[in-house]
Amino acid sequence: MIKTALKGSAFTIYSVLAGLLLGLPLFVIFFSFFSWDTAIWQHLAATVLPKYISNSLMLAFGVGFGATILGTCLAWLIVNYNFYGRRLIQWMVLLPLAMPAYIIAYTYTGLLDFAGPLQTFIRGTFDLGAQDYWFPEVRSLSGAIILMSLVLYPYVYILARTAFSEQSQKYREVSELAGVSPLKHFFKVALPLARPAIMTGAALAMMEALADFGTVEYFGVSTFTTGIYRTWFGMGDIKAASQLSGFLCLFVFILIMVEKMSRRDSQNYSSRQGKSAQAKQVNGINGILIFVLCSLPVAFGFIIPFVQLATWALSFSDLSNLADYPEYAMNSAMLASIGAIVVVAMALLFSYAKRLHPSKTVSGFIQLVSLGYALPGTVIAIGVLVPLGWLDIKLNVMTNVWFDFQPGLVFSGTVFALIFAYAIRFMSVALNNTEAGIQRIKPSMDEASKVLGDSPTQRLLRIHIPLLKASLLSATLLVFVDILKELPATLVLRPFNFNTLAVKAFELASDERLIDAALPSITIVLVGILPVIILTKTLDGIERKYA
Amino acid sequence: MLDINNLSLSFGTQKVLQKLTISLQQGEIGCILGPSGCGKTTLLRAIAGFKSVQAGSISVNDIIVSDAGYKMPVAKRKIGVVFQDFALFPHMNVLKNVAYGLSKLSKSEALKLAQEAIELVGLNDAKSKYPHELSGGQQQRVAIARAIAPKPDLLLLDEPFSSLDPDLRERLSSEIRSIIKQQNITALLITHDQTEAFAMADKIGVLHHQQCQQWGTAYDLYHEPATEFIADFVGEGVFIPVQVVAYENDSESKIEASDDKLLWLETQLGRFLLPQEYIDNAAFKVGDIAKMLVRPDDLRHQDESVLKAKVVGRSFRGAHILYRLSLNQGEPLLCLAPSHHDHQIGESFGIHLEVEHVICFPY
Repeated sequence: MIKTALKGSAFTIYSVLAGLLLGLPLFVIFFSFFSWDTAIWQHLAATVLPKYISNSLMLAFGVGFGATILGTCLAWLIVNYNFYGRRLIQWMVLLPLAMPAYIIAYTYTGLLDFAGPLQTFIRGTFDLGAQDYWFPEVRSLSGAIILMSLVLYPYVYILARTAFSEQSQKYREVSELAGVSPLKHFFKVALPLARPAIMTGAALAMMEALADFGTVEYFGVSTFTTGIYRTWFGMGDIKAASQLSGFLCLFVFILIMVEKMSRRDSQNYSSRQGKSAQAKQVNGINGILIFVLCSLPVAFGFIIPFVQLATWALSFSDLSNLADYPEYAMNSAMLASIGAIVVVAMALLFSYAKRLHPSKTVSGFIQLVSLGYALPGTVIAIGVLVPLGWLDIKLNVMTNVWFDFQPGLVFSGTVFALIFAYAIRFMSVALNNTEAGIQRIKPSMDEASKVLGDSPTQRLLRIHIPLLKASLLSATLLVFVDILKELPATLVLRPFNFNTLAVKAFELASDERLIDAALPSITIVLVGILPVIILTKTLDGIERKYA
Repeated sequence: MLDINNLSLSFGTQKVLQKLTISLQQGEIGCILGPSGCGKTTLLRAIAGFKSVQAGSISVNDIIVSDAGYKMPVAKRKIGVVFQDFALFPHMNVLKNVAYGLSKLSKSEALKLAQEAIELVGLNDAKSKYPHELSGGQQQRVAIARAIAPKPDLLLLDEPFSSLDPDLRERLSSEIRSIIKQQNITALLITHDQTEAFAMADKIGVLHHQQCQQWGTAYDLYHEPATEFIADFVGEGVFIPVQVVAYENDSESKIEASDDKLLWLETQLGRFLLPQEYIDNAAFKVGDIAKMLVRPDDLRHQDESVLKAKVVGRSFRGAHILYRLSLNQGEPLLCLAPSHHDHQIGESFGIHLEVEHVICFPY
């Protein structure tokens, strides 16, 4: 008995320690914000801060708005109308998730800039000179908003689609009985009911927009993330960088609150009764119209940039640049594999600790470590750098005194720092899967195993892990792809001269070598399609449940 | 008010209802009773206008709203529907839910009508509450209020009490009935629950095998069932085997010829005159074996009777005890006796069959 209790509490102790470890960077940012340095702030306020605030807010709201419009309209059309090609659209509509914002950004830059195919075509066709016509500048704040909306709308779409398809057919019948037109029904009933879900999706898209580094850096738009990066990399001022990070976190926390509140609301709003709305068959011109309308976002958000990338990668890439491709591809694969396994294993232990002893402490730490998804990679990187750098200095001092030997940056300058940052950023992705999976295992399974003499560890190995295989696999895949795509934290924390696909793609693009950047980019995009397939299957499952 | 004539409904090639004919007068409450999956919800949806009809017609106030080639738009029919799961809008409070169907009216008028409806169902205090803050019974009242607020010509109720617990169900059903009656609303409800049908409805139709087996009052259904299915489905009872014989009027001597058409049913429990309508229909001839319906209340407890039956089962029902009896090892009989006639299993007591309505079917 005592032995069992101790083993159980070993998992609790793990979750407390691991929770503290992963929470450390959060605390660092939090406290640095409160160790307010007036001199730094005065300088920041006089120079860059107003620009950072206005650009970051405009970016976040712009993307929130764009993603909401695209995601909601798509979800409404796809749930309510049955048109030719609907199944294809349902699958394709999520594809932009595989397209990282920084990649779509430089792809469109290449497509639309002065020497790009479109402007060349315009000049050729209308016989115009360089100054004779006006063309919108992609590399701008509005360009960033549009492009990020194009790849982030699936966040809204996924949640809105589920919300719309859960709405009972009866609601529409009530409106029909009351003589309320379909359009009015949409605004009075369908949209208000889906509002919490849409808000949740919009908040997630806005978090991603605030977290973005690659796009805004490439476009030269000064936001918090680029500011933090420059303050640290350019000026080496970690103090100012972490104060800026803290400021950015204020906005992020507001979004987290909006998200959590909306999720709670949507539980009140879900009716879960009766048959869900039936899709209306639309044929002929109208059907084609809806198909075209629905394929526009995916065309601009995925197909066009993908084709451009593929063309560049296949025909224009300089072969001499290929020489180091295997190296950074391997680096990426290694990093993503180690990261995914570590993160998923940690998530599993958290979930299992909660299952063994569902205490407030464990749940609290799980909530804490799930916050990382909302934090920008740049912020996490600073939060990781500060304590690890301190630890490395102390370590070197200590070994120097005792052994007359300096090991160098053991923690902050190695892959360790990267994995640490990934664990914070992607823990919630893994936890979502392990928590949902472990809840599906009936409590009687645990009791049976307990009665038959298994210790908690044996139970984890013999019962839970085998039953969770599917959840663990999908969690690993999701985290793998997320790490592969991750740019800002990798950029800040990577060991010297250590390149990954994402870093290489970004660096080549920043050096205006767009064509050479295509190969690492398209690799990321292709691997990124895997989780989209899984997601499509899951969504179909949800929809079938309510059909 | 509501006239359904020779109505046929189907899903694709699968027939759901055939040649259904029922009608309701203004202010009457009708009920369609049937096991789940018998097509009663489909009928309701056809009346509301959510489904088109294959043959026959539906008219409301002498205007055809649906026939084989025509379907009046739902909103034009002036029909209110109370859905099985209520389908209240979770993002609107009670007042907004009730006023939802009144958006064509001016704001003040809509508010007035909604207030009236809410008052009618006794929810004045819960006006600004949201559906998730209400109990099941209150949600039900809101659903009724929303359906009757626009003053519909016809109110349809789809299994209105099925999601409530039995105690509440009974209380609410009589209350809802009095509201409907008081407002002189014509209503049609569908249910699989007989007690609900008996408590609410003036006229009841039983659906079986895609057809309405009988359209009549609860009394008719119970005492004069038109088909064997209804006899079996409605209320309790057993069939006992009978033989059709011919006797001279009040005489003990059997006759061969049946010129005077006086046919009798000979049973273990006595002899009963075959009612005239069976003779008119030439349903039976002398020598036929038939089965006769015996309701538990037809079989009386009578100590002096020579017929003694053995108790093989009993269930106490307060004022009465329902006995399961066996007579000469024959088919079991059901007898509803006042509960002070307390007999244990294995005991015997005298019984006497008194049938007011002789109902029999071919064996």
